[in-house]
Amino acid sequence: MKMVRTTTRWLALLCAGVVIGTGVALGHSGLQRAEPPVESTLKRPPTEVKLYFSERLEPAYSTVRVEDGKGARVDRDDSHVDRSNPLLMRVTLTPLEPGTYTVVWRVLSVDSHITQGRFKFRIE
Amino acid sequence: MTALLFAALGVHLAACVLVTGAFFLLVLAGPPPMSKMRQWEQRVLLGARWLVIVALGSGVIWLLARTALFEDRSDAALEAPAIWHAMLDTWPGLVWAVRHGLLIVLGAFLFLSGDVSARWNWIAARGEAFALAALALILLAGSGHAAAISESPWPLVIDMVHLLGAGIWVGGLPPLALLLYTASRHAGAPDPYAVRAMQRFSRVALVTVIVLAGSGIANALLLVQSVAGLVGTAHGHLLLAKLAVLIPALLLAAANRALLPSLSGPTEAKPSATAQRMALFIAIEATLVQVLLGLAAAMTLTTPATHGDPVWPWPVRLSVDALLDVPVTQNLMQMRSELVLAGLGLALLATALLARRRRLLIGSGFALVAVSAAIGLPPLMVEAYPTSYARPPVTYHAGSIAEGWAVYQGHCASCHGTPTVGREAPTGSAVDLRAGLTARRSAGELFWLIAHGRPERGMPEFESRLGEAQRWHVINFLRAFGAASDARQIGTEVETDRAWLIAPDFTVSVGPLTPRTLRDYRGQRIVLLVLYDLPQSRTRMAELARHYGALSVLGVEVVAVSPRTSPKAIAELGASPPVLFPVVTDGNEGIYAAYRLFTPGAPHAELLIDRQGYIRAIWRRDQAGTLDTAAVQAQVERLNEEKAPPPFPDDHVH
Amino acid sequence: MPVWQVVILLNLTLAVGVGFGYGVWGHRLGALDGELKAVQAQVERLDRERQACAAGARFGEQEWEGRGIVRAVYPQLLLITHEEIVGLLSARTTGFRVAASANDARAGVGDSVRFWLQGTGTENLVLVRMQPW
Repeated sequence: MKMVRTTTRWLALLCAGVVIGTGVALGHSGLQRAEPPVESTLKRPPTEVKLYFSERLEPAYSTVRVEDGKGARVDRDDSHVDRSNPLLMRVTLTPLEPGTYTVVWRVLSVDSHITQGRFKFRIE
Repeated sequence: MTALLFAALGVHLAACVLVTGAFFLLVLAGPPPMSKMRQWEQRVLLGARWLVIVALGSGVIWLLARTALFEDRSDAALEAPAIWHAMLDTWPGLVWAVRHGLLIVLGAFLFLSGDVSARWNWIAARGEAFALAALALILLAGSGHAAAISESPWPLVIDMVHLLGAGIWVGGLPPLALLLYTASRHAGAPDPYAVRAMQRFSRVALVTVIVLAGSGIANALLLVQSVAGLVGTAHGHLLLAKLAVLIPALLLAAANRALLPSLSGPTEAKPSATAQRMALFIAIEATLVQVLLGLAAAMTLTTPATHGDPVWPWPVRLSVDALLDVPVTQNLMQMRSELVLAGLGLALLATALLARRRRLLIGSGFALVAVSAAIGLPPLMVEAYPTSYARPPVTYHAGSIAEGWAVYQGHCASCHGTPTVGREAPTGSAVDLRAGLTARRSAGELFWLIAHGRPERGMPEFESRLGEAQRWHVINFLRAFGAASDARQIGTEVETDRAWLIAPDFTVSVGPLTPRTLRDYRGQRIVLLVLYDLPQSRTRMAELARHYGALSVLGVEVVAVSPRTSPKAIAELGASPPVLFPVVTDGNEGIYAAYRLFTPGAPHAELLIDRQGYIRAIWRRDQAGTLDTAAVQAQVERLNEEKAPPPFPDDHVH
Repeated sequence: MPVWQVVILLNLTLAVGVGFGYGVWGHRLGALDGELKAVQAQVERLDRERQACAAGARFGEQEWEGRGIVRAVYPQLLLITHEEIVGLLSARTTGFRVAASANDARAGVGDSVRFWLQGTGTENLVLVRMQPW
């Protein structure tokens, strides 16, 4: 009985330790930030799209593509993980006309986790 | 395919854990002296052989399922080139290959018979099997979340320790149950070999569980990090489920530990019955911890809570900031010392009176805590919504702030008024959005309120009128607006070790050159952002051009922004002296609009942004005296002398 | 052979196999990577020499192309904020001597230009041609 009581106390401490944790720090979803920024409006067309992620990426299965309003690809199909920064994916673009473009990404991180998403940017 | 992946991973993990635990128990127990115990050992070895085959088979299925997931098509699971690609061209694939190589070696080692009658041979054989199994198990951490999230090796090491602990404790329980059952099958006392093994395992298990708890808490801090992550994400829910299963398992373990002295005590009437009861408890405990393994496998396949978007499940949340709104609590907080003394006095009195009545003391303690919570917690509770802890997809960027301002003017100003930094509450305002309440609401709460409105206060919903991106832009604007109201405190002198005003990011586009962002300067250069307008700024710009070399040597980059986008911005500044610092020629309107929030009304302003990305000093042209490069240089030197730079700010508002 | 000797042999084989394999493989990869970079640099240098030769340069001189914005104009010197000039300079602001032959193609402060440099290295570069970018 005493052993059970002792164990119960230690369990309570363990649960408190896990639940309370550090409290306020918040991490971020897979995509940390992008250039051009997510949902931004630009005057000058970018020549490249850069995506920064929160986990290290596997180059073999990480891709980015950029589509125009009609779904046609406007990137040069050269998306790659930056050699000096395994959190950064880049793809270069063909000259873009004013309009709305969608960046579609699907990346594999080194923990075998696939994340994907999309966002838009506009050129005026 | 995800279900198959989970099933294969779960079976594989369980098999690896059980093999590791089986050989650990064998090594711990030592060579069995009696024939009955040797029979037990043979049964464990037979089980281990089959488990290695199961581990290999489920591992292969796991690889095939993962290949299909990587390639995003089911038929890739049966294509050899795709499987090779997944195995040899990815880090998790290489880890898989190494681990299964070890399992193959282990399998061959187990299936090849050898003479282990000599003690050293027995120890070498069982020890080698344990080493191979343990290595194959802990290398799983190499392709886990800890390996992906952190550059530091410590999260990986902690994950490996956690896996080893699981292998020892979780994996050792089934053969231990079998040992006790085998040893107690006759009416007499259980075999001393079994009793000794049980005692040793009990001691090791105690240490192992403490290590598991410690490493588990460390993992939770890394991967979950917050209460919101714990209660609002699938990963967090699985962790809570693990805890829920762990509690009865540990209570059973404690009950077994309590029964341990009865196994061999001289006064015990039926030690074999005790051993059989213990075997049953251990078997139940072993079943429960297998559920733990399944939950652990599921956690591997979910996004870590720290990278997910938590969905807050309750209508309220605790907020320490709410203390600022409650006069009673404010008064109580001011009475800190009086409260502590009163509390101590009460505790001493209670101890003196109730020392011999422990139950009454404990009951009173619980009652006191409950009453305190009932009185003290409600003032700390604020309204919360499912998106309270949502992470904005839009970064804190000048363009977003400018767009947010435009949306605000079009949809919000009619009720909340046109915002003016530094003046009294705007006219016609439903709620003064500069008020502390707005600042203390999280970005996710503001997002919910904008989307759903507050019908009881006359605020309509905007979900049907504004896209998600527009709502986030408005929130970025509100955060910048709130910060700008406080920015009046920032003057022309850097306050050492006090960095709080985050500089919104923006793109530095200079003609057709590859653009940079303000964020690119982080960790490298101080930025002097110059908001200028010609012709009044011409003299100052010439002075800056002359002193640019000196400022550069001190680690400063000057970035000049005029109010309007113009490809001729550099030419307009003139050729003598030559202006060599970046002059933004694109996107000027957004940058100007965002940063003018911090310098309202001044025709020329300069903001000193430190290497971490915080605005540390602001010079406004309307202040007395002319802007002086020597004064700027002096503040740059103060920044260079700072010993403990602040941490980098987040890219998103919260 | 006694089991304990088998165990030692097995562990040694694993350690040596993995250690040597990693070491040799990693070293070979590093060496191949270095060789590739050196060959790439050599190809680029030969290409620049060929272009320089076609433009009338002396033996051994190379030609580089750059793009940038003119920041200051002097009779014999142009200050240009340029992007990376591959094989020569990273992105920065540099002053280039202007060859007499390039004096006709002048640009003003703030103009975006493409320009060509000739020389054997950073110590004797001369801007020989320029056109709007």
